[in-house]
Amino acid sequence: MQFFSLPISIIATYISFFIITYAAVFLIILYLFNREKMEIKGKKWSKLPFVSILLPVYNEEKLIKKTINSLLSLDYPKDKYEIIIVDDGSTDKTPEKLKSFGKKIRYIRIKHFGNAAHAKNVGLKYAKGDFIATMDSDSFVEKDVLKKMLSLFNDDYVGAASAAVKIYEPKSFLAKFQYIEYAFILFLRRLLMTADSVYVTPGPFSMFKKEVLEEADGFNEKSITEDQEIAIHLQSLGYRIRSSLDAIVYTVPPLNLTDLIKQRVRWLRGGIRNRIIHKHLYNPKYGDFVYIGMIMDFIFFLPMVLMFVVLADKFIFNNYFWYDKIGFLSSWVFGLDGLSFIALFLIISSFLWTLYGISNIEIYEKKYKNKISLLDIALFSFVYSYIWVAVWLTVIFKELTGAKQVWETR
Amino acid sequence: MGNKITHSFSWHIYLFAFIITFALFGAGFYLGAHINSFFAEEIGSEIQSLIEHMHSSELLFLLDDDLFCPVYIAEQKNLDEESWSIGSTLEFMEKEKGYTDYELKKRYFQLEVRNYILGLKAKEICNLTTHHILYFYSNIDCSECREQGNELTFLRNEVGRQIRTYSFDGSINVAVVEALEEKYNITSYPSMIIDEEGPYGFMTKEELKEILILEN
Repeated sequence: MQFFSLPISIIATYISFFIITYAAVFLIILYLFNREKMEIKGKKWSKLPFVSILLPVYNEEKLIKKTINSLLSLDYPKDKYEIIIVDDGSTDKTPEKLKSFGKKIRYIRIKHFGNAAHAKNVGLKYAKGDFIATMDSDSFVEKDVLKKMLSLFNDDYVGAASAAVKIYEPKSFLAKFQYIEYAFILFLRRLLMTADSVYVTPGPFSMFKKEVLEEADGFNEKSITEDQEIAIHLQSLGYRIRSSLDAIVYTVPPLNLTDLIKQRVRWLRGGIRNRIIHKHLYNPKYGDFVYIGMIMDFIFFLPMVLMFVVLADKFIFNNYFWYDKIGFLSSWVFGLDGLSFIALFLIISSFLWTLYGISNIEIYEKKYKNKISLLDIALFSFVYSYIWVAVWLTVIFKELTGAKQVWETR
Repeated sequence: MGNKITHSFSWHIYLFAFIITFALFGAGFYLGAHINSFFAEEIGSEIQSLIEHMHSSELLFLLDDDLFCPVYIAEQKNLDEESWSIGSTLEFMEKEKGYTDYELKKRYFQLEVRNYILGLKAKEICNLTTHHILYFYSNIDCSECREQGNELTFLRNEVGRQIRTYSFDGSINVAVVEALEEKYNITSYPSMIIDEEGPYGFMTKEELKEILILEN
């Protein structure tokens, strides 16, 4: 006779598993239904519009020259775009480096405010273009990025577009992981685009119609992740956001674990704030965006954290004991149950799904193709996600203790 | 001002995803249940083979044969290890996976009782120094039981086979366990009978060691 008496930890694990599996299966089904919509027929402009590129900087002496040089060598008529640099009161050699560009750029220095949204809004006031592109000071563009971005504005509904952000020269494992992550996020963002649910227009080279930005009153200075806030805001205003596959911009990633976790904690905490700012979007009339843009981020990771905590609790306080009692191998074998199979499914499918997503993106870029191996992708699928657990635990801790949020350049 | 989109809700995707997730879980549970019953069968046949092994010692004992002590001592090591491993596995399945097979537990307790009685007789006849601990626990409303189980495992790991522990779940009704409880006057959990003395309540590994050394 069999009888099930389930402890709380088992029930919590099952529920978490169900939610995570659902979130994963949802994306796969969305892909199966919508994959054809991921291809966009670009618009050919008969008369190229004027574009203003906004670049907020703060103490960026190391990379700023490279960034600006890449913008100056864009394949676009010189009289059709301007580069507006808003210096948030840098205290290093950034001002000298910027001045050396003379009249090729427009240099505005403001009193230190510590907020990228504010710097961008200042730049916006000076911008003459019909289109506004944002840029980050640690990123470099490919020559054709502007033309490719403009081609995405192919119908009247489009209010903004994001570029294909890639990691610049990934060498270390951590950089390679981020390279894979960015490529996968790109794949995902293009998938979300098919459900009108893109919820980030990343700092490095996202483009907006100026009138749309004005309708949104610019970037929200209360947000520390203004590049996400503006996307959510535009969704609420009813604008479509496109995502490019081949308008490439490179960005320099955090190169050590502490910086990476710091960056992600900032993203997530900013993400929580943005959802609070736009809480009116938790309304069925916003359709798929409610789940994808407002809930999915949390539904994916919170159960993962819960499961991690439950498993850690079992392992650290109770479970290790079984290895002692019946041996490691047999406790593992006897531990096999329904959950193990679902976990196995999740692990294998997340590997294949990542692999598929990456190869889908990589077809368009051969530069790094051979530098990312299957092993890197496998490690990414199995190891990297634990960094997110650490990030979430930090976020939960900081939110509960009410730690202050600060804007940093990256 | 550009045109505005109306956000639509792709309910069919949500529904499909739910059905597939549900099916995956169904398949997972089905496989899990199969594995559990497979292991239960394995354990059942292990218990059976142990009981058969015990028969030879029991028979020699009943015949009052001189061979009883050497045969018992030779077989006891293996018997003890296997019985311990079966017990731990049953406990693991119950506590970590929420899977309880009462029939199997009953047979296991019966095995333990026979093992215990034989052990006591052997201790007497063969002049063995082994200590026998009967450990009564309950899986219902007994916060100290888990701790006590751990303490006993620590003790066993430290002292080795000098100590034989026989654990009994008092919360399920098995005639032999009830008889033992009555004999030793067990009214609460955890309770231990150490070398036929007691009952003792919760004790740490150190406290247990003290009692066992004092008796020597």
